[in-house]
Amino acid sequence: MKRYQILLMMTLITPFSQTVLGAPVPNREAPPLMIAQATAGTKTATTAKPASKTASGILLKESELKGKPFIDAKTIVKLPRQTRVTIFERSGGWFRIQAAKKSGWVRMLNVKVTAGAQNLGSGTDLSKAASLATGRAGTGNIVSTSGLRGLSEEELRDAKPDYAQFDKLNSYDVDKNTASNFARNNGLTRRSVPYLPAPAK
Amino acid sequence: MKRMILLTALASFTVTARGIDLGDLDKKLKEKLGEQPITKESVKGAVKQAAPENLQRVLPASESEELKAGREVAANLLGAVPLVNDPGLQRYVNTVGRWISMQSERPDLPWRFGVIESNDINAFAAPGGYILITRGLYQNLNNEAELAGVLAHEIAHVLKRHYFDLMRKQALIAEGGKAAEKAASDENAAIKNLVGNGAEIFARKLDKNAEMEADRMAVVLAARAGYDPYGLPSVLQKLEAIRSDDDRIKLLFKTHPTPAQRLDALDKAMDNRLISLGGNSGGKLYPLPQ
Repeated sequence: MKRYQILLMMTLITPFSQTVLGAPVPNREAPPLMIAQATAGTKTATTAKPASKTASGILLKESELKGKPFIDAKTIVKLPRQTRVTIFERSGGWFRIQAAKKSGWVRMLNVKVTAGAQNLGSGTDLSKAASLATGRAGTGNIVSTSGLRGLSEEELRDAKPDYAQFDKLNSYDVDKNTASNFARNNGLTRRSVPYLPAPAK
Repeated sequence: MKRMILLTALASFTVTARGIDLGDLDKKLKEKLGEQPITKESVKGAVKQAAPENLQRVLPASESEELKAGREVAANLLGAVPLVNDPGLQRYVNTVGRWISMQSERPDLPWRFGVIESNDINAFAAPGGYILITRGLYQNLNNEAELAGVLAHEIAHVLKRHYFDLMRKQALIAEGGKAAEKAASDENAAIKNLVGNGAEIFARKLDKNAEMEADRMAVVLAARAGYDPYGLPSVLQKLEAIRSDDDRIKLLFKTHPTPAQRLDALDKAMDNRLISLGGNSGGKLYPLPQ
């Protein structure tokens, strides 16, 4: 009960700056960069041995903190909406997190990642490129003044077809057998999964 | 008076366009326009309402036409942004993409996948199965399951003919009955009509529901292929963290619902349906050349 009150107070006191979806969140904690490889599911939740690189997030809704990354795993505690969490790794649809000194797993889609999203996997270059360009290394944020240009509407509109490039694209054809062998060698097993219905409005 | 002329024009291509009745499209246009002044916007609105099956009958719609249009659009995009010059990388992306496409309802399209030389963070699905992902997006991926999620989203656009239908609607709006008539008589003219300004189609916004549908299909296609289905949501979380004024993400943000909206829609659609499936994060991503 007390813990809940503290959490609630924390969320009330902590200014929740992210009112506009997709707006940048200033990264107060400046988590070091990295990299927890996503693995499919069976890790048990031990008390978080702090990973050297983490991400931060905030709960979008009340969430059950689970001892293991399974729907039917025991719920340790229910964390209220807007709880700030430290994220250590992703495993399938689960994040291993720490919040208010409790560690465990919550549904990944319950969390809005506010910083260090690029750490939740391995080997990203984007943040590095961006921070090198601006000298803001280590903020964990992807900064805008990278100087790297995107694609403009004008470029798309004014483009002339390049059929030599198209032929090149065509030449990279991979046949079904090659693709199947690749899948077999990488442990990718075909599964029968029906398409998802559109959620009710 | 103006309205009369338009309705007459519509009625006339009911007859001329391959001699087929337009059915709902015609009715919808009339309903929509009944009490409104005829403007480009009102026609646009009415066409938007038309069921794809009806649109199908008016403008080029065969698979061979879809492939031809796709070839033109892809060649145009490659004219703006060439392929990354690394056959190993391109073969790798084709292998992953081909495997996912094999889990779909259109496994025999001439699926091709390419990484293009742009820092923009984006991916494109030209009709017929020509899918291009930018270097900027590729280098932001953390594992193969994320690549699978991105490719599967584009594959879904092709499966549902989202861009092909958009091109056809645009041609219809631009040319009206004339386009349909021409289309009925001459396939090349029809394709030319459709392709219009080529790659510009990728600066257009699809219907929001089409993007959400592609996301829903993508997580399933990835799961069918044996991948962790949460690769795409993971990429979306990364996109969400990119500032919207970053030049590399402007086009994607202009043409798509926000990552937050897409994640919210995926959360509702996925619920806990795929969470116990597990899945493979795949092999190592093929490294980009410097």
